[in-house]
Amino acid sequence: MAFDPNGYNPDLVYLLDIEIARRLDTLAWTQAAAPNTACWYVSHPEGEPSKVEGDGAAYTQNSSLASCQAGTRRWFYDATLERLYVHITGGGSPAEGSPYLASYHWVRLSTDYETYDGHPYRPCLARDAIPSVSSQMGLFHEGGCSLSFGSIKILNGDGYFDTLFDAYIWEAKEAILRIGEKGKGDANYAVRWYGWTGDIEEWTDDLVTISTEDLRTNIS
Amino acid sequence: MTIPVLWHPSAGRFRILWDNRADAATTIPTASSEAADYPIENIQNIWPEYKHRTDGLAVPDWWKFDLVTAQDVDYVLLWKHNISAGGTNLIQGNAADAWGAPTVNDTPTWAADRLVHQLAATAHLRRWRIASTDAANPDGYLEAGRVFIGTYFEFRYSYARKTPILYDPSEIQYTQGGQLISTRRTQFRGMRYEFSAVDAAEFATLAEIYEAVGMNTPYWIIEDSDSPLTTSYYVQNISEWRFPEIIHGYNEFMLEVETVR
Repeated sequence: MAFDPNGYNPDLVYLLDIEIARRLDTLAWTQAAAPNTACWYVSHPEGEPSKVEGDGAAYTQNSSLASCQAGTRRWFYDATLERLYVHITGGGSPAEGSPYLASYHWVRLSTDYETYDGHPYRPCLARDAIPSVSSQMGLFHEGGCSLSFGSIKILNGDGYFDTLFDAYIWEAKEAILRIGEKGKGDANYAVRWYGWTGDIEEWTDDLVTISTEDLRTNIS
Repeated sequence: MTIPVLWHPSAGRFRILWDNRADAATTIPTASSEAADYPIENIQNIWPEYKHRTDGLAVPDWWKFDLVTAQDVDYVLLWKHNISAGGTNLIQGNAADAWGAPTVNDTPTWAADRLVHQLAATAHLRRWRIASTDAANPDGYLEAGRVFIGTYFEFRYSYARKTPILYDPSEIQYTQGGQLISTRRTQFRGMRYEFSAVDAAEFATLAEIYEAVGMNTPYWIIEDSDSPLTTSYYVQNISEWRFPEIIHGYNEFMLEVETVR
């Protein structure tokens, strides 16, 4: 069933995905065993990264440690051991090679229990946490318009985000807001806004407020 | 002097399960496996629908809790599970992490979405395990939202009166002409229980319970200890606990709760 914004009395749920980053090059790396000694690994309990970047450019994901060894700027995730292997240019330790290295993974937040694309969402967005979207055109309209999306409020009364905000980079990261009716399946959800996080405006015992930016402001 | 006491004529007692050893910060929970995005830590989260899920089916699947030190245990609950009626379930307790012949090895009565099991006698053990073999489970995995392991408080008398409450948190607006426009929200339930004569010892324990749970921590109640599968609820307080005095040493008490969503 497709989402019908004009349907009668929809019980709407908002799903917010943010692709947060963890800086890796400052960690203590361990060299993989022979013959894959150009690969180095760290523990990565966050699971398989959505992407790995070195100096702002994506590394290539590989399906085995041997293929990661075969070329530079590659990565491989061992789900069993929860290890992330990286092969940087030169084959040395990322800590010594000094690329700005980061892994990314999505955090999934919602206004109610919901599962989308097989992933559970953490219900920690307050009912009034989702601001309205507005669009504006300048006096000289050239075919586009500026989307404005306010700040996102995340409930932090249980302190869950204290560790996450300390360990990960949340600013200037991709974010997707979907809206749909609870329990009606993935096809029911529509993307309402796709942009970037801005600054963390507020971080208290009760609440975290993150500003947002139009996607185009960060695309060159 | 005799104090007149009103109570519900059920043979069972009203119980509060509040001191959950499974949630203690020092307790170490583990599981037979973990699906991606469904870690075992979710089972210590107060949200019952934010679950742990196994990565497939095993013989058996299990949830295990190391309480670090031996603790008194009367009840073991598995809440919001998906174990099917055909599953074989065991509640086990042991001093060591070995499950071949544990000290407690009970078969609980199954009910859809819950196991509520009272031990024959209080057990003082460090390790607890809920094991389930459910090879034909249609989901292809086992999951659960909450676990309770611990003791209970029991009133001397059951409640005198119960008021079930149905809530609809939908947001309601009206046009100038009086037409209703609403944003529908999920309904939920609440209950109000009135107890007619709480004595000094009960008051002391209830004060201790409220100090622990307050308005911020959910807990379980069992309305009728003789029918735990159909009268147990996972609830949170929605009003302060007040104890109007009847005569010195005896108080009325009203417990007002809503089901945790």
